[in-house]
Amino acid sequence: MEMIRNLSNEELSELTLASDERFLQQELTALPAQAREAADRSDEFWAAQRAAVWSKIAGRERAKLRRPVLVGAAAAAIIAIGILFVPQKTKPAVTVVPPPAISDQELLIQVERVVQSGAPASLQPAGLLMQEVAQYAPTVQTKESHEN
Amino acid sequence: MSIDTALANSLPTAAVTEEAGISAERFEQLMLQHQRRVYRVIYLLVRDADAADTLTQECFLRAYQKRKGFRGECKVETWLLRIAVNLVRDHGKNRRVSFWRRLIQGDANLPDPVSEGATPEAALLAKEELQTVWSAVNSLSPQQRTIFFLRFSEEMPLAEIAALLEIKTGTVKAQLARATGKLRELKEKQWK
Repeated sequence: MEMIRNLSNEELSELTLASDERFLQQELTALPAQAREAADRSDEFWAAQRAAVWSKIAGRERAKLRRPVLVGAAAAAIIAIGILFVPQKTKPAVTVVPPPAISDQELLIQVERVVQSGAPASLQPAGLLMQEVAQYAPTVQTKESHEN
Repeated sequence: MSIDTALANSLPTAAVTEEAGISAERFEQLMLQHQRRVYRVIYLLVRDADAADTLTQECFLRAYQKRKGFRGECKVETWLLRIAVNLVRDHGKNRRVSFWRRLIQGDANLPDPVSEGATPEAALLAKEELQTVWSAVNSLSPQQRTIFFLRFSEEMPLAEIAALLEIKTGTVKAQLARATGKLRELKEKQWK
């Protein structure tokens, strides 16, 4: 008992194991042969097994090679679908900014300025019109004041 | 030591391709050399010939895929058996029901242990005893069963079993002692 107390767990395991092995010697001795017999197969079986392994390897290799092509095709399909279904950006509406409203008198003043600053021949009628306006404008104002 | 070096030692005539690291001829040799043992270990653990065949194929397929990762810390055979045991463990997780069914029904695949020259009575007795052992082994935990078969059917040294299962040698001894203890208990009960 004292001796057992001084043994480590591993030593105790070894001791138990050795004792059990002796006790089961008959059964344990028969096991390797029995296992070999149970797993014994014909040469054809082993050859077929190797062929099956090579077939699986080839299958995986093919799948590996095919993967980038499939990924590329899938990406292209997604992009195409995206282009078809994502609503296109609407162009910003062109807003026509109306020219600032100016009175007839202001327009005539602007024309006069242009004419006076050496306007082209095509604008000469406008110049004549301006002269006429300048002639009659004070007369009209005087007549109106008399009436008042 | 890489797998190439390990294989080159065992197969000096084999050629190596630059890209794959190991040529088809070398892998064929590897299978020829180890497929029987790999199959046997798997068969002992799953006790189903079809499943053992499929798992052996899967084992070599994985070995082929991982062949560049083998660093030579252990023997090629140990490395292959490690893959095999891991596959059996994964397979076992999906086959608990099947395991219990087999445990209840007994093992139909058990070979007839009649030896030459044995009397019919002795042969019958031997068969019954072995049947008891194999049934008892089924009642062990998956790890205990694996260790038991590797030790007593494959006659592997404890250190190699420890390397294969990536556990300490002390753990292997303890698990084995528990396994044989259970078998001893069963045998004693039968005698009574």
